[in-house]
Amino acid sequence: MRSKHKRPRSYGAGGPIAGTQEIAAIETALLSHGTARDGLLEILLDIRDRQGSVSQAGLQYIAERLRLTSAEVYEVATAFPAVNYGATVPYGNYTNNCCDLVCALLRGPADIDREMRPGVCGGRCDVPDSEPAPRSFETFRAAGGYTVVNRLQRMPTEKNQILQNIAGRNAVGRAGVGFPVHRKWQSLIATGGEPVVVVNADEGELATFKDRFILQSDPHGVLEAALVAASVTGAKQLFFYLRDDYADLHAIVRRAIDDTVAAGLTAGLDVHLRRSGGAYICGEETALIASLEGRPARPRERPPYPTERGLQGRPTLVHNVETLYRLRGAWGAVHEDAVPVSALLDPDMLLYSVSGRVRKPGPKLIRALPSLDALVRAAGGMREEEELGGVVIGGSAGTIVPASRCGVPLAELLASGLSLGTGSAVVFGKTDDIRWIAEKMAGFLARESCGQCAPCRIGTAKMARALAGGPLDRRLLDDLASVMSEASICGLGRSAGKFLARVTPILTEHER
Amino acid sequence: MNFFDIDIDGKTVPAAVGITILEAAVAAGVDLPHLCACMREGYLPIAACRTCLVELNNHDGLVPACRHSVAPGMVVRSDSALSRRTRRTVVELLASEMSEPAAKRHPDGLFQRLVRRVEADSGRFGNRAVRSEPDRNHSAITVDADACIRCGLCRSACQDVQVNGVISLAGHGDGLHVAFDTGKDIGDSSCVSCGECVQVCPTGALSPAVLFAPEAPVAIEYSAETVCPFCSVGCRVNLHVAEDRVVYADGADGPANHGRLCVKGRFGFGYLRHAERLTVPLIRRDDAPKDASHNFRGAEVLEMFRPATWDEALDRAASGFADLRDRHGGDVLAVLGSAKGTNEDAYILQKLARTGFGTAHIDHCTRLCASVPPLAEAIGFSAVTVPIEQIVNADVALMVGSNPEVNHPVAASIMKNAIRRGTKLILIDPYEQPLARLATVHLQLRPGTDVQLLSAMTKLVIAEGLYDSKFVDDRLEGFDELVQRVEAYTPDVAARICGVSAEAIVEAARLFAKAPAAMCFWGMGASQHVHGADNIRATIAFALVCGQIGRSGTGLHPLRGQNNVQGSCDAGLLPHYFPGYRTLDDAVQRSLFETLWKTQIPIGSGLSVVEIMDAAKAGKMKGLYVVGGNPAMANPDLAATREAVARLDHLVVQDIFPTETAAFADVILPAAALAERSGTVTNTDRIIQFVEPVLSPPGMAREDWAIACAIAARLGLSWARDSHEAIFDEMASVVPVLNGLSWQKLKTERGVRYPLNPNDPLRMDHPIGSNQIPQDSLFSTGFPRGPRARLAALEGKCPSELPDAAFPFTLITGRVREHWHTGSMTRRSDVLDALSPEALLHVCPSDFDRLALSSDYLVTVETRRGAVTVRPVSDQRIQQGVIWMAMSFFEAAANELTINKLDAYTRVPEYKYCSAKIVVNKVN
Ligand SMILES: Cc1cc2nc3c(=O)[nH]c(=O)nc-3n(C[C@H](O)[C@H](O)[C@H](O)COP(=O)(O)O)c2cc1C
Ligand code: SF4
Ligand code: SF4
Ligand code: SF4
Ligand code: FES
Repeated sequence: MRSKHKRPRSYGAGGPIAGTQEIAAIETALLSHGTARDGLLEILLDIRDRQGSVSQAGLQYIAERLRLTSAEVYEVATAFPAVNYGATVPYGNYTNNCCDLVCALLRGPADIDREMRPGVCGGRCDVPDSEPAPRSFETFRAAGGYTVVNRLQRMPTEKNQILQNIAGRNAVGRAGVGFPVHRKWQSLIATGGEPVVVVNADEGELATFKDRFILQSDPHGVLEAALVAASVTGAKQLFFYLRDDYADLHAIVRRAIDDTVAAGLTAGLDVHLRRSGGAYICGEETALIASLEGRPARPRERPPYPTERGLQGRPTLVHNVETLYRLRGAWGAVHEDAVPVSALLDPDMLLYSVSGRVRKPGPKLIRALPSLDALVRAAGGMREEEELGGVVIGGSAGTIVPASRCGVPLAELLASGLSLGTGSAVVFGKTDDIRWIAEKMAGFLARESCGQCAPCRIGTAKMARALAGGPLDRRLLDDLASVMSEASICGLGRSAGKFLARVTPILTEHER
Repeated sequence: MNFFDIDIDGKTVPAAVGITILEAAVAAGVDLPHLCACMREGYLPIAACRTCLVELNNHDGLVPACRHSVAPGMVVRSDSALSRRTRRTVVELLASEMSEPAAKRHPDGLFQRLVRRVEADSGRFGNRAVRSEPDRNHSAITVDADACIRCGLCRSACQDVQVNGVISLAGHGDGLHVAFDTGKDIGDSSCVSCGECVQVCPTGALSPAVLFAPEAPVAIEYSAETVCPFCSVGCRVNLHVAEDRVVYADGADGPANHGRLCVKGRFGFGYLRHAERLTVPLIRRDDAPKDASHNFRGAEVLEMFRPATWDEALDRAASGFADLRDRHGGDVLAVLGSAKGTNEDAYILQKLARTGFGTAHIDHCTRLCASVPPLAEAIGFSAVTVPIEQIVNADVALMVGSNPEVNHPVAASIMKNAIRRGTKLILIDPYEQPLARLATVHLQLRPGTDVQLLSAMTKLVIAEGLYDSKFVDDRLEGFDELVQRVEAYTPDVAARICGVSAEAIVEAARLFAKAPAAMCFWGMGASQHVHGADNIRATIAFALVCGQIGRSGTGLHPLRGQNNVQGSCDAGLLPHYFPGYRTLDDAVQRSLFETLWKTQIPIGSGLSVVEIMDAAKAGKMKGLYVVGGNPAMANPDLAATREAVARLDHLVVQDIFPTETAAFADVILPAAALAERSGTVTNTDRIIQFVEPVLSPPGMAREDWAIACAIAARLGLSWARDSHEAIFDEMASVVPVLNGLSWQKLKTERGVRYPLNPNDPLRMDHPIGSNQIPQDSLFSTGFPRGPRARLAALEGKCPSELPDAAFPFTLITGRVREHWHTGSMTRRSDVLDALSPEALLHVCPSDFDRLALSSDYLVTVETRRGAVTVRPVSDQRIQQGVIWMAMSFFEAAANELTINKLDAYTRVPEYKYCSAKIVVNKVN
């Protein structure tokens, strides 16, 4: 028991005081982001950029300036890997930032341990030969871009027409779940209040880089659709939530936003560019909203859906980058040869992120893909002296399709329940062990669980451990799969359960 | 369709729109399994443990009962195969979060019971590796991180309920962990030890430190409820007893606290079995002279006395008073009671004084804080017009000179809950107290300038037409004089005097006046000045011209001090009122009591606490009966006070401890503590609560009223064989607000808010709304004094001792969270004393640095009355030129320093202003 004190009790106010240099960094961050709680993540990321990470005393100082408790600030700082709190090395950029599945396939596990910060996929496993140059504001305008925004400003009645067109095209979300876009918009309009629109450019899914490709090629296409969404739903605020690790994209998107603002296209709308916190879960829409509010990225139970109660309780529309980009068809935009990515305006065109042991990894635009074999061919075929082992479709909680099934018509695979998810495909070789791949996927999910709910926090960890080695206990794995998919709060835990349910039979088969 | 039935596991359960499935189940007595949900007020669904998942008839998959709302036609199954299997696996996973030794350390928590209930195999998923030993460095709370299952209840307790904001769930994924502040150890954190987290933690990861101590008992023998003996919030506590002592306490579901407690109420029961408890009557030894040179305490005091039988001691006590009365008349006798006693004690004591001693000099420690008299002056009512919990209905709350986080912590938690839900707080206080963080406007004024500030606010709302002119016309008198009085105070003038910005003054005034409903609180920061009554009058005037009274979420609330201040005053333990605030000078009232008590009562009002001491010092007061009070520690200017008590011919001190005052006694009588007795106590919200003994009194100690009756019997008074019940019922018949209450009714109902009958002799003829509890916000029409409230004129005094070259600092005294009043109980509660073991002198950082102070060396603080030696600390929440000390430490008693100057109206001493100097003497 604590005996009589040696030092006066100061109710936590004691301890080291932030140094002048750090205070300067904090004050500079406050100048650009204000002292309201919702800017907290940006403030912390700014300080990280300036000095590697924030100190304990710095957190205390921020708490006082934001009129928060130090516990609230600490909770946020430690919930986001990108804040780098307590780290001794600077926060890495994508070259040493790695999902550890694809990179491991390509470079061997030993390298990962040595050189890389395991974390969210850096979105660079495509190692592209040349990067597309972003289409500029002027070129985009010249091609008829943003005329819809001007029209809407002049003739608000066109909103209904656009809604109808979207419904008519059966546009669905491209983030993986495929929910009809017009139903989301209508729900938002029906809720009333002051809606908010969010462009979800967090793209944290393992081995997925389609959104980056779109933004890198044609940022104004996404922004135009976002402005239309804001106009149609009556939103006064638009957030562009961009993955922190996509550092090069920040300048591109920043420029794109500034250009539209300068051109008067955003009248009546506040447009904010915000960075995510370096975790896969940041892209889950309710977690995303929490992070925009300056809270830890922890998903919220539905109902209520964000379209009813989202950011600060307001109805909130969150759309994936690709979803928005494709919507342009609803107001007449068409494919332009000079801009390859605009092929997505054709509803039957799909954008795959292909990575792994292929010759030409990268984003692939393919219409009516016949089979996964064909996808491998589209990516230049297998690398030298390698033979196809199979393809992981749909990212971390995706499906492992063995080589034997890669020749089966894709339509047949889809009919038997395969989901393409976000369209990512990790190609592995004959010598790669399926169990090892499954373990890497499980490990990714365990590491990326926000940790809030018991079935996912503990379940994913137990799953990763069970897959890592030793005999497979079928009953235990089935219970784990069921508890994760039935009891988790959000899609991460639920899909982890489904992944385990799918992979367990394959692995038991494989072990025999 | 607001009410409907739903089906839970085959049972029909009533439900209402907006509640959760779990709430409906619990209310109907259906025991749905759950873990991270707490049904108490303030807790929100966390829905993270996923043990409460149920199936619904119209919904795919499982939903958490603790979060999902009920709907008509709902059929809930918590016992379906899917929900049982899922629950069992979830519990098995949760069990794996505890290390094996940790699981063994806590075999009986709520979680462990759930494991057994769902027949989970707790070893199925293995156990977490041992990471740490329990952290035992905090005196009150032991943290066993290895037992934590990360359910988040402690976070909710700290953030949402008590709003102390210390605990978070930091990190992510498997790294999620309970953290204090920025990841500090609990002992180094800003934890205020309210223990809410301990009470809700389902695993034992957070538990009372005593349960880990070597002397911890094997098992709790029984648990029983009483009311907290400290502040006026009146929290109900559940004491867990073993081996005739309180092992630990939990908040009980009382009307004021809803299960919450603060550090004192939870960890402050050690005093009950402290070695220094008085257990036998004591008589002063002939060879022990009364030495006024310094304070004696505890064992030192006992050395001056010898044990006696009750008969001998009572004879001695009574005959001393009888002698003096017969020789000099009753006027040389005085009685000092205490607001720590019960209503029955207070009533019997004033009756003894008035009828047995024949004196009007009867008072108690309420005098030292009294914040109500100016309210009585304005409206004729001597209690709050609106209870604290109504703050949730207030758009704005104005708080003048009160630091409830420290002095009324559970009330503060209710205020903070309201602020979270949108109530805006305006704070008028020189100290940057914890609530300041949540305030919309904090007017951090120079000490002693409240009147000028409030005058400016009043002038502004009148000038801008924001005041309630209809209310002013219909229900106020003295408005024209008020307009004149505030005439000179423009925001700029006040800004200069008070040291706050004119904009902030304007903002605060507008905010309050424009609010549809605004409440007003004040505390000792307002009252403990020579101009204390003026401070409060100015506050009341401001609130009343804005018409903020008589509706839900409006009203005036002086935060009372001790746990039974309200009741002791109601009972008439006052020199200027009969019971029920009946006027002494009124012949009708006098004859009422003379008839009732069958004896003559001295005419005129008596002296107050401090005046009694002044009279003793002058030799005019010769005999004093002190029951539960401690003037030798509590009064201002202790050196003078000691001289006064030492001069008394006959001093009888009745207490549970040998107090500083007892050192000067002729006879000491051992009393029972509140937890050892029956009785009623009244909290600041006008709720009378009934208590019964949890323990028996130690040794020969007796209840206060019984001792007073025994003295009365020796003075030949006929009522001396009264019972609690008879005393209460007599009191309820003469105290108007208690009319309609009886001992039996209280015994059945445990807690009742008065007045029961709005049409009582106080003419509280406000209409009873159909769906509003009538007494919740009083005076929607009329006031007890008549149709109009009176805006009293001010006396216009300034602080009596301004800083000067010789004594350059302004000394303010107050209290710390862990200690109560003179510390006689809390300093003897080992946990509280360990949490806050010594007096600290708070100095602002610039003065601290300028004087080159260090917390490693003690300094001497000196005023024109005395000096004490304390440890200085740098405190950025304090203003330059101001120093602050708590009054509860006998080793450095702040009242050695304070000045004996009283407010002319309330007769409250100026504890919150005198000049002082700091003498640096490098010793530690
Ligand atoms: C764990 C998790 C991570 C997610 N990450 C992303 C993401 O990075 N980008 C994205 O657009 N949607 C992501 N989502 C989906 C979003 O929650 C949301 O459904 C999507 O932004 C809606 O867009 P859509 O309607 O355009 O499909 C994620 C979902 C989960 C469960
Ligand atoms: S399922 Fe996983 S990621 Fe989603 S809320 Fe639960 S713990 Fe967080
Ligand atoms: S310390 Fe207790 S209440 Fe807090 S998260 Fe752990 S188990 Fe839950
Ligand atoms: S001291 Fe006051 S707030 Fe604290 S537990 Fe006791 S009555 Fe409640
Ligand atoms: S009690 Fe409902 S999820 Fe924990």
